Amino acid sequence: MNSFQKIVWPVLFLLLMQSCRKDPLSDLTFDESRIYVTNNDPDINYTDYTSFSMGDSAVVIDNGFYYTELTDVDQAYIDAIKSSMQARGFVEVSKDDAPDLGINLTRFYSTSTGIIDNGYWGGYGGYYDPYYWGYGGYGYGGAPFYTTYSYTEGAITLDILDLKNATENGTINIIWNGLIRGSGIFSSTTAAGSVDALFNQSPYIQR
Amino acid sequence: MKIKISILVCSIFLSISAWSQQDRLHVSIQYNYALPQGSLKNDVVEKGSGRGAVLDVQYKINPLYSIGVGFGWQDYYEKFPRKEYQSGENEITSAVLTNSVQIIPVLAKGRFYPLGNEQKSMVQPYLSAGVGFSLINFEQYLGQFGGSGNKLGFSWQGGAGADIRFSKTSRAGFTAGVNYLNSSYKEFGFGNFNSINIHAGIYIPME
Repeated sequence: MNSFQKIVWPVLFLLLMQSCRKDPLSDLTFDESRIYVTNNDPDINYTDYTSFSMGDSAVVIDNGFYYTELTDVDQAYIDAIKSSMQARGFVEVSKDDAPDLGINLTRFYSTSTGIIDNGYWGGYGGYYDPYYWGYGGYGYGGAPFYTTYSYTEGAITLDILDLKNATENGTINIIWNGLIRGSGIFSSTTAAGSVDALFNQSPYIQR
Repeated sequence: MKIKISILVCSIFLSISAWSQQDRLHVSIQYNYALPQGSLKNDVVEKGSGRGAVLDVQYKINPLYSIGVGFGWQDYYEKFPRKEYQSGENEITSAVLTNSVQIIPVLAKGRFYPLGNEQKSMVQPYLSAGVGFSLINFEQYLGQFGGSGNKLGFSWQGGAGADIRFSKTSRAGFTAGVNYLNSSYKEFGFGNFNSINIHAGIYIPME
């Protein structure tokens, strides 16, 4: 065996063995592929809040452009969020009836920058028009969220806004948000389960 | 796929056999089962790995000692059920966690054959020791989102085993043994990635 062959056989051996490796991603179901991330403001006591109102559509952020839309998938998420809030003792009211809490739903599609990072709210001032909640001219504020994951594909976020103290604070503080990422998230059939997952890991949202 | 791999492995051995003229230089290829130890077991994968192999080349200096080089490959994989992780100060992430580790040791090895009478005995027990480095590839996923990193670290190995000739006149035979492999991995707060390895296969002369 010449020197070249002596080198080739170990390389062939390693290449051959590497092909026997178990692929971690191919072993995941759709459900297992999904992650649920929640951030909360620890200073908030939810028993101080009674009512909530849900945005009537979703904000869609698609490659830097954003607009509002209401699809069947959005409606499934909105219904699931309302059910979860009501099950925790909050009363749904119209946005014109001075709700204590507002809830925004946002769909993200492929975007080039880490838009979900701290710049999500700080840089853009919130995608959901503050006028919708009756606080025109106000910006969105609150704790810097989404510090763990940069975002490259699709995601759905829910945000709970403190409307009760917006006037006193001079800003609409985001007191909780939830992030859903993974396979099959833009589906009506997975909406309820995904929303449940976010609320189940946030037991402090309770009247 | 497995049939193709088997055919390739057999082809390799037949080719090597054809070149073999003497029997001072031996090559062995062995299946390897690894039991993780230390930080590898406590922090990364709890289960043993049946996806591994060892390729050793040994040159007999005299009836008592041989020296050579050994290549290994071991794939560790484990998927942990969905669980909530504290991923930030006020951030919770619910995810299925998957760890995937490949360890590729390249070691200078020596063997001591206490019987030293290879012409008389069918069975040749040996003690072995090795020193070198391991290439460690570590991938970790939360759901389908993750990252990977490669690290080259110092490695040493100690073990024992036996070569068993196919027949009294054969220059090839079975080989089997047990060893302990220590692979340095001082990353992300982990300790060494160690393992107890049980290996068995065949050896043939290749000179």
